[in-house]
Amino acid sequence: MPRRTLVLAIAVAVTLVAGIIYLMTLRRHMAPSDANSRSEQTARTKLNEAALQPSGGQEQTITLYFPSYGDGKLLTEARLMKLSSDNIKAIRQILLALIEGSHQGHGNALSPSTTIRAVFLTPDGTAIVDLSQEALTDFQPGIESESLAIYSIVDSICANIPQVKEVRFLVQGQEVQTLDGHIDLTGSFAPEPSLIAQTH
Amino acid sequence: MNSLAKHNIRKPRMFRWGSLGVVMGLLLMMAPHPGQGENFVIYFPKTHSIIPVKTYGSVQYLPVIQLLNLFGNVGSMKSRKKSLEVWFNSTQIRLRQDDRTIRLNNAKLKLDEPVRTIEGEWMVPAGFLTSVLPTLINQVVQYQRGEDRILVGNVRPNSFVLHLSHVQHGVELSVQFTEQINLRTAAQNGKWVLYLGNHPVQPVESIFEFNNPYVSQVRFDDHDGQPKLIISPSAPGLDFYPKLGEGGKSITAQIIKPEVAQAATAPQQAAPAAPVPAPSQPAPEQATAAPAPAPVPLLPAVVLDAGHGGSDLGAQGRNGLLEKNLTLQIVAQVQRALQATGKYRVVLTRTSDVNVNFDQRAVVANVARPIAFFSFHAGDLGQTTPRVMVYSYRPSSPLSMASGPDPKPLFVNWDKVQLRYIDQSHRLAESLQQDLEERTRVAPTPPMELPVRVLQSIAAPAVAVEVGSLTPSIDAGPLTNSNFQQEIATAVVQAVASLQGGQP
Repeated sequence: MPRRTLVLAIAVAVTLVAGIIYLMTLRRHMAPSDANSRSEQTARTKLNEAALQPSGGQEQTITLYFPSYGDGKLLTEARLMKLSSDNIKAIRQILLALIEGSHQGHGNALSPSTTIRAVFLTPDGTAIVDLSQEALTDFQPGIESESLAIYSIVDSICANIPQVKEVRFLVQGQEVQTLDGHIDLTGSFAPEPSLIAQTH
Repeated sequence: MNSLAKHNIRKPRMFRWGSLGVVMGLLLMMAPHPGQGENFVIYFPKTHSIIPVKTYGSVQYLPVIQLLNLFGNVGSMKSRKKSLEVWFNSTQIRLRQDDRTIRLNNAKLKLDEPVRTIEGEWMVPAGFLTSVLPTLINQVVQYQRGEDRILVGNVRPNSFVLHLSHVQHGVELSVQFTEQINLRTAAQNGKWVLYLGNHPVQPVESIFEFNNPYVSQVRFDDHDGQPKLIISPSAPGLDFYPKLGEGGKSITAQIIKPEVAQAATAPQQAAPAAPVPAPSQPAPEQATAAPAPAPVPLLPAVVLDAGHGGSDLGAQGRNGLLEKNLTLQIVAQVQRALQATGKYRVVLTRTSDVNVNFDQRAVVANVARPIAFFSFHAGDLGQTTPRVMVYSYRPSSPLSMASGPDPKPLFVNWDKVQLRYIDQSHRLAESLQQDLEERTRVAPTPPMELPVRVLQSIAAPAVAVEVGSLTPSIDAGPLTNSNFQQEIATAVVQAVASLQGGQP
């Protein structure tokens, strides 16, 4: 074998080995980020969790309203939370607390798998809440349950964030007629204190 | 003197003959006699037929042989003075004159009015259509007293929404149908006519009155078997530009003053090339023609809406019970109870397992001009079962209330029409809930006012009734109990009666 050919073969072999080693290193680097982005839902959950982190404010008592199916009322539940001074973050915190569910065993307004896609607040005090599809699919059927779920969200947000006067709903970024065929969701909702059960 | 004396003698005689004539006339008027001819239109899934109707007393009668011929083979017939035997397909039908019983082979079926022979023809009362015909032809027959249409088999009538808006120099009439139509236009007797093909359009009593210089009335009519919209202009000489919309489900028609029509149509590419000729004035002989026989007055309508349907299953119970089927069951019970009073006409938004959207439900309801609307649902009402909740409409935001319907609108905004009936609807809901609670203790919670979507577009006192609990965790048996459903039906009848200030 001529010397020239031998040198060329060795150079090719070295390049090949170096390339394989490089690709394997790359794969090791890529694997963790691939696992992180495995599901959009996981990412959103992480985002939601981040939003729930206390933002340095003082703990305060917030009031949440959960549905009481059968008597058409909302039941009050007080919680200690560090509510963000940023209204949009605060709305997100309230929603996540509702998704988390009642600590006292009351009914749930939103399925635990519901995620919050986006929250907006208009200058006139209308909060626009964009929920994931699970708000529709994992829903307790019925006029009463649908209305209590909606007013559970509306009353909870408006009670804790005075700047919010009304709440409007989107699902997957779109306006929907109803959650499950009963309550008109195309308009804004003002809070409805008459639905809140009086405590004695 | 002589002539005076003659008159004095003759006058009383003339008076006697005159009195006799008046008495005879009165007797003739009081005796039941066949009225002027009318037609019923019978709609089948793909075709329709007309059958003549005669009114005897206040009852409408149909010629039985002609009727049977529309549905099958009429075989041998034996007609005697007082009885008739007919073979229809493989069934022997026996009728007796002035008898309310009809024999089908060996089975006896009762009619609400007796069989008659009118002008030599065997006639059955219109009640035959619902009490005997379905058994004979083994198909669903939809007919209600006071109406002049019969739906046989799986016929899904077309419905429509009508809007009128101002355009420059005129108005634009837009009609949105639920099914495709075959449009043909004509000008007749000073009116424009839009023929809508062969498909039935529901319901018949669709009359819209307007107060503007262009169109005074839009009326639906199918008495001659041809469904059509008859548009009456407010003044002669207006131009009419109809146009079928995309998909064949809508019509827009501009009604414009002729002196500006040329200018107005120039930039409007959508308008057809030539207008339907301006309708001529009615022929003079029509003005002096004898008036048509008075139609049988329609009973006040009550609309019953079975929630969900088709691919929209609604709530699901533990034992496989679906809300869409349960609501149909309840509606059937309520329909029977209302019809049993003989005081109401019942209009249903759906009669089978089909998808019906909110606007279609509202169209069916609003064109019937009902005295009340009831929407039935089932859902999660907690652990205690059976339970009933009653709801009336309230908008989701007080701002909607503040910007309520214009007091003098050309046409009421479809989405805000229930705002006009909020108080009446709430009273109806209270009456229904209180009656149910007093008698059955299943409705302890006072009615709730909520932005219920199906009630929003209803132009009548309207409530939603929800039974529960229909969830996978609870036995749904009590909800299908006929006693429970009957209690709801009785309460609805009572509530409708209360709305009218009377007894059921």
